Amino acid sequence: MTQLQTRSARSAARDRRREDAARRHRTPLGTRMRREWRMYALILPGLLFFLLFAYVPILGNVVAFQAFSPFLGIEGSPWVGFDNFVRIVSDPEVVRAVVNTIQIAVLQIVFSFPAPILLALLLNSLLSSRVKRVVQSIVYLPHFISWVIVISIWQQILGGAGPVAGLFESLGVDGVNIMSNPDTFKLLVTSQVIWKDIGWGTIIFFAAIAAIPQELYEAAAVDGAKPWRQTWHVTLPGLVPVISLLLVLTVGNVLTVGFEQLLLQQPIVGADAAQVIDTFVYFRGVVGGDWGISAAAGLIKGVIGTLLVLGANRLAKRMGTEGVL
Amino acid sequence: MSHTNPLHDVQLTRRTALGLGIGGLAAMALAACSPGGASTQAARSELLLPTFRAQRAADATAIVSQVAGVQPVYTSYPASYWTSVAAAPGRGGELKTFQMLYFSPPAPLESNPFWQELNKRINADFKPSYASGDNYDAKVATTLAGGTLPDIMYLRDEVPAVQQAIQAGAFADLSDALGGDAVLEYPNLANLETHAWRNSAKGNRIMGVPRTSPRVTACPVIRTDLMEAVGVTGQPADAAAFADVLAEIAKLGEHAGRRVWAVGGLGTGQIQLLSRWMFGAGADWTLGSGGSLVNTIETDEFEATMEYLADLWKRNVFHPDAIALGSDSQRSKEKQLWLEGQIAFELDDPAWLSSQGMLQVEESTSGARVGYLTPPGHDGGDIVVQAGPGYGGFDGISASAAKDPNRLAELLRFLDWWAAPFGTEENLFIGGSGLEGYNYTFGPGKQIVSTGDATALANLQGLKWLGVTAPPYIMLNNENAGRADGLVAQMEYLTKAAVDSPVVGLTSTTQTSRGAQLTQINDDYRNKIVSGKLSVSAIKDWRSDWRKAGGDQVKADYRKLLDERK
Repeated sequence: MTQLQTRSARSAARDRRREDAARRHRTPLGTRMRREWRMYALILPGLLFFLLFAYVPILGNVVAFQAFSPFLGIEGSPWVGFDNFVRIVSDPEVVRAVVNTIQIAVLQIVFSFPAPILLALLLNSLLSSRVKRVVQSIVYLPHFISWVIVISIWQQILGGAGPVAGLFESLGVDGVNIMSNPDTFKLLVTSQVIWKDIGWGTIIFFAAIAAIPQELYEAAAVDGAKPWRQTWHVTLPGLVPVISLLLVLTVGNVLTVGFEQLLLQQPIVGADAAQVIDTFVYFRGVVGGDWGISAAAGLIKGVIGTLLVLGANRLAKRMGTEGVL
Repeated sequence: MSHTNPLHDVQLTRRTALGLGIGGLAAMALAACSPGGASTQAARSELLLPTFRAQRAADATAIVSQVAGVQPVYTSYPASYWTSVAAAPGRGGELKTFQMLYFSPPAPLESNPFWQELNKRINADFKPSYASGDNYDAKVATTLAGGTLPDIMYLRDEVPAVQQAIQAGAFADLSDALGGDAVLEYPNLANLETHAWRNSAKGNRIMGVPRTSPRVTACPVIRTDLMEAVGVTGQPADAAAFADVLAEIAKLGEHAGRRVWAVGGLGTGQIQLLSRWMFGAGADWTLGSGGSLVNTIETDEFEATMEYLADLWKRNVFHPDAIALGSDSQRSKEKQLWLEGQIAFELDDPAWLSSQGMLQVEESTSGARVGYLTPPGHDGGDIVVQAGPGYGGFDGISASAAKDPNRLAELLRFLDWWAAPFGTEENLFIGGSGLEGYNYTFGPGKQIVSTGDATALANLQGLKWLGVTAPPYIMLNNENAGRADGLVAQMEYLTKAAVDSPVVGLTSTTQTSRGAQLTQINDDYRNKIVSGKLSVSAIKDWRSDWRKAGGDQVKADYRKLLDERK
């Protein structure tokens, strides 16, 4: 695509937005609501759901400013100002947890985010739709297995008593235990995420690929484009809106790198490698009964997540895609 | 939800869960009305312990040890049962409880003959609410936040939310109702061991009726057939001899067609505990010279324990996944390997091992025989075992329910009924056997024969676990009867070597909030040192990390509490 085209596409999008806005403001909201009250009533259940289960609970964050005890409740627990935040920042354990979290997050964005896209492209290039469907079913099954089972399976295969260790042993290398090596643990975690969720992740990309008009491929073929070129110039550009949307959402969750998965494996590789923000919050807040500090950590995480989503969204818009908000 | 972002559904789910967690807190907090009359409780100047008065013994054959703290072992069922509670404890009202559910939930009252009979016998409308083993912490916090507490709650006093609630006056101080001779009103409660009352008291107050347990609750066993396969009979004479036995068993590799290992996991409560006993590092805390508190990891004995374990590791004694198998979440997997006859060493609850665990291995594995392992001192001398606190949680009574003295007396009568000892009608019903004709029938010689009805069993197990129960005993009959003498000898040996922790019954707030992190430090260093990733000399860093992460503060907490107790 040339620069000129990009610019004209961008200005077209801008014009469209302006038109939409103009149309919206022609009649006042109250009038529209009265006229279309049935349609607006449909919003109610969803609105109630979010109010009750997402917005009201946000109020619970005041616990972050208290020395909270469940029996005393919010009314009875003493207020401590920013004490909990100060304690978080001054705890050396937190530094380690944040570093680990960021390392794992980067690995997940670099490796496990693009994995389903590549798999979708690969499967899409298969000719036999039957094979395609069978493979798709098989790769998305692990998504439904709980982490306890996943880790158990991995340990059976890659653990010290598993076939992989046996293979190394027969080659004369003793004591290979991939599951308990703290140095490679973060790669292991990323591999597990890819194995578990790659198939599930392809579903949305398949839908996006199916929505790409067939004529574009035909036109490309007429122009002499081989399959590789078609993928590069037709399929990938067709996927860009979905990719950017998912990336924005993923970035918002970047500090949530997996709780059960890490909690279960932490005793095996040690806290040096496997302590992340969520497990810290768990050990300190839930196990240790320090609800204030865990609410404070959750609040910080939530604020950072929101900022990242907004930032990523702005970036996505600047790069010419629609973004989320 | 998942349709908007299928790729990261896991993360979204988790975030939702976290949101719900915080939401739950908010809901809890909103629902919590400040409990009336609750005031922070200060320590009493002196603890008035309930008078101990032993109840009648059961009409059955038993080996009763002369060593204090060893539970009696019965080899036959009682020939007759006596009634320890003359009249039904209740006055026809409701009895709301918060208790444990380790099994599948019982059927509702209408279709549950056991429940109907229970209501009749206690003359009350029994209404339990439940926590399961792994959600106790969360459930108890929610219940406490709910404002109105059930009449009787099973309390694990190591849980922070419970400690906070006790401190805030959520539960009745039973010192006046049960202290001294007042307890004689409730003969089955007077039959509970004194040290359980003493150790479970908080700030010199009796805050609940303890679920009593024996002095030593751990017992090592070993596959004697595997020992014989490497040419060893009898107990090892010292730690080195024991290491040799394990190393030789490990070399077997396969036995009777099965892959075998000497030791499964590098478990804190298993091989590490046994090694600490042998090297004299058994007690978690000791009073050093000048009355200073010393944690076990700070001792030379503990260092020797680590050296010993590292040596075992080098000699391939452990299962290759020992570190994973030694973690809490994989303990059941290790247990499975043991039950399938693939592991030689095991350490667990003596009652479970003697009545089920050992038998199951012998039945699952041809030629397998399991015997008690009597651990030697590292140099052939004495061992040091840490005595347990003598209780595992207690039943607290809601402060608001206890305001009415008649209601308080009624609630204590319920607990008295539940605490009826082995050999009573009450214990036969609530202590495990259930309802005659529904859960069991009497066989020849008054043997109790289960009806094998799984629903009936679930209906019984789901309701009986209130916390307070009969003083501990072990029943070994039929195929297990032959183990009785060995078991008693073993428990006498271990109990004689048992020492009390100087801090037993004390609650350090730092231990509560930082305990999980301290355990993490201990486990991580232990794993690295034993598996050879760090040398034993790294124990210096271990100690200093432990101190910095809260160990010093825990020590200071205990020091202060010890001074207060004087």
